[in-house]
Amino acid sequence: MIQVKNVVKSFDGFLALQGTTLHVKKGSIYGLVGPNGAGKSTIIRHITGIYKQDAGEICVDGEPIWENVKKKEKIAYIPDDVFYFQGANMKEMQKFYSMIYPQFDKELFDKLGEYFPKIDPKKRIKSYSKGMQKQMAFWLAIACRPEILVLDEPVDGLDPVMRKQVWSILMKEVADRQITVLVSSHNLRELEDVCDHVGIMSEGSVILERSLAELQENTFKIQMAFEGEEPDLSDIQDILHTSYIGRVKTIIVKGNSARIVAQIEAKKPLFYDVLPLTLEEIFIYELGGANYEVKDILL
Amino acid sequence: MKSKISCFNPAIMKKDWKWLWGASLGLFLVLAAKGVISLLLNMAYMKTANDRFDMRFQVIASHITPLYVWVMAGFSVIMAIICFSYLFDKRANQMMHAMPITRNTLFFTHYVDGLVALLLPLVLNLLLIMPVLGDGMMIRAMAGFYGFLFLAALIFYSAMVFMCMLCGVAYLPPILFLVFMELFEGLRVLLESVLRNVVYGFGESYFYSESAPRNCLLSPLYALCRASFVGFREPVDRRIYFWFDKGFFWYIPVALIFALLALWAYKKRPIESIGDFFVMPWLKVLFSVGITGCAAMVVYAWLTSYEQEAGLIDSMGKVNPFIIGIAGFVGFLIVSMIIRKTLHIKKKVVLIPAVITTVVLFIGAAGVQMDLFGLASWTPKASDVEVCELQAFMSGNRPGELFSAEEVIDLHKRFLAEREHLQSTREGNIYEVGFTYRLKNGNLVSRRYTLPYSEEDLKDKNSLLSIIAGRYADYNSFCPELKDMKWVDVSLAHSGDDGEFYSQILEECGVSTEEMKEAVLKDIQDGNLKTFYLESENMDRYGDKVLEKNELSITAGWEEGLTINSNELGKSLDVWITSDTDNKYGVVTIPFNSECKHILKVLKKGGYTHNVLTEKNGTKFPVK
Repeated sequence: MIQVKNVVKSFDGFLALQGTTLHVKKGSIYGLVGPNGAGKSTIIRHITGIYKQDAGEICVDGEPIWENVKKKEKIAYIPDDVFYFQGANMKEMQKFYSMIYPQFDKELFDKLGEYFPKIDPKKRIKSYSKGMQKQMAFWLAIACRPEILVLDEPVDGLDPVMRKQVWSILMKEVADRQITVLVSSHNLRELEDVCDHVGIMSEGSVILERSLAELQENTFKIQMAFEGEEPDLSDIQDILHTSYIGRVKTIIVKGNSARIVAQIEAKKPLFYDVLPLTLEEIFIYELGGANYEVKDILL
Repeated sequence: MKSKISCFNPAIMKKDWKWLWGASLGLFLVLAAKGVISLLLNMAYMKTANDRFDMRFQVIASHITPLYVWVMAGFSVIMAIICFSYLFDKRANQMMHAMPITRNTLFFTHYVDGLVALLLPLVLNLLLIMPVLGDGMMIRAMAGFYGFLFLAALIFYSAMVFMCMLCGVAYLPPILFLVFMELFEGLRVLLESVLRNVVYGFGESYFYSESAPRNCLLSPLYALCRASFVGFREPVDRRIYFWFDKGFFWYIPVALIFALLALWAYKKRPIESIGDFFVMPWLKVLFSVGITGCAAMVVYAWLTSYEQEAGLIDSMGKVNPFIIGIAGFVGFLIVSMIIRKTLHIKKKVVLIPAVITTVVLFIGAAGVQMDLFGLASWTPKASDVEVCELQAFMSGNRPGELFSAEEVIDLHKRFLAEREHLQSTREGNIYEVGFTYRLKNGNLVSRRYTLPYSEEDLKDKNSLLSIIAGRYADYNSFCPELKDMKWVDVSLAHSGDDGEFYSQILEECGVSTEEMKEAVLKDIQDGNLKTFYLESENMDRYGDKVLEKNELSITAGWEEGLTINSNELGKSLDVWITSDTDNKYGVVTIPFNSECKHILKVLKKGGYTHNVLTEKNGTKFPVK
């Protein structure tokens, strides 16, 4: 549904995106993760038509998104820092959005109000906290009945209860209407529960893009111990990380699990254990290969 | 609402008008206060048709002023900021551009909203005032003025929108607007001030042609204010109208060009540069060059004026090239440090143009100092001159009558040749002599030089002083107004012991005004009254007590009528009608001395003998 191919963008001499490529399938929930300054928000703003790329293509359903009103009508965007007109309340914003987005559903808007009981539609939005304003952004975005929802740090500032509520609304929309969601967040634990695809960005490009299942299949942790001297494990390729707790060696490795397990068994360990990684661990260790290491700190 | 791809978006319009309506209403009320409201309030008190005519005229006269040009300028800034304020907020900018609205539609909608908000009050006020005025002639005058304001609104608003597209911070567009609306005229004044200090003899260099007033069209705010000031014609034979140069209609296509440029800039505007002073890198280059150049001129103009007043520089025409260069660069550094966070001063694109401009200014100043450009030593060819004038001794003169073009140019060359001597004399009386040429190509050029007074120069028949003073002292050219004016009365002013001048109207002493007029003119003819006596402040008293203690005050003037302040050297936009009030007559004061036989003879008839005129009389003067 969303195709980004070799997008390059520089700001005042600084190369923010260096050949970024990603692909978001229709009906999927795509989690875009990466360290600070990787370019996540930048690529999102390109996808929503705010920025124009210096090179490369950004297409939605095969058509370039830049200045494409028809395609943009299908996209609802919630930025990390939401904006509302001066002095506006929810009712006024609802009227504005209903005039802008042809598929805006007033009934749905009214119905969604039940999920946000603390928000008075007639009260000035600026008088609410940042978290409440974020809730309002969701409220409006869902009511627009978009086909694509682009979220930049969507649950930042929300309390745990509201987070759960927002995710459940999103999941319902995905299930009911097959909407496509592109979400960028640092909260990898939450993303792991909702995303089915993940893209990891670093230094302006997507270094890894897989379905979550595939990612967890191909990157895993093995804990093992050997009797006596430790054998040479250099024949095992793509070891992302090695650490020791006493005699127990832990390696993070990429590759075919069956083949690697066979290689380990050949070394005759005392024991070994294959453990799946969380998305957070995959993120950390993948970026370790991209010179973004988490240094071991000895206290 | 179904989606439409069109150039106008109702949702954006609705959002704009939430704030625009208040500003538009404010403008309507400001215009109405001195217009239709003032008319209606005053109508009730007017009883006769003449009263009503005069009242309506007064209201119109108070309405047609430069103030309303400023009002349109101010509201243009307000409307543009209301419509395009989102350009200066990253979040707002991102929100607007993430929406399914093209940039063309966004721009067009905002632009039209602001323009309508600005023009609607003009139209409504005019529609309301027309039936109240009732009179066709007054309606035409008012409609003319409102059409003029319409042009003003168009050019101001379009220019302001364009400024908004170039800037990344909200406070900058209004500043740029003010600067550029007066830029050309301001730069001309500044440049003339600097040249006056650096070029020997440089007076004014306002290059003038038949359509010279149109040069100031490049400074719209200045030009429109000036035109509104002079455009209103007061009632003559109960006719009034408002007139302005047709050149102002060029503002319509210029406004359109500004709008198109603004659209182009809007589409090119990098959103990530919000918060920077200028959103496009090449603007920083212009900023560097502009600030450096202007800083150099401003600082230099102030510095040399101060130095000349304090006597630190001997004379005009001396410039230190280093001062110009350093002043410019220091000025640039100061301004840049103030806004460094948003300008990134250390970047090459900002610093290098400033350095280059400094070097160019230094070279230019050095070139002027050495007169490489020939500004100081310029004189025209006689064949290029249409009319020329030599002005001296503050007296009236008629172009071409005193000196021919060749004589004027020869005298001009002598001033240049004797520059060292003329500039070095700082004691005694210093007169100013001006040369003004209207060239056949339409340019008007003038130079001014100092001419010191000395006895030796006066006696030397070949000296500049002697040639010029002698020609001015000629009976036919000396103060011709004295012959042409109607003399009302003549008073003798005598200084008493307390230093005060005591005055006596001579008619009361039996001395007729006509008799005294004849005597004065005879003494002029005999050469007894020298030209420089007219400048009473610079008089050399010679020790002649008659001269020291006495003056004749002549009240004289012209009949009431139309006076146009122009001469063959140029036209003026200013038109006055003299009225039957104080300005009808003027007072000419002339001293006289012991050699003025005719004047003394007439005064004697009135009892003012030589002894009476020269002795101390305390405060007992006048005698009779």
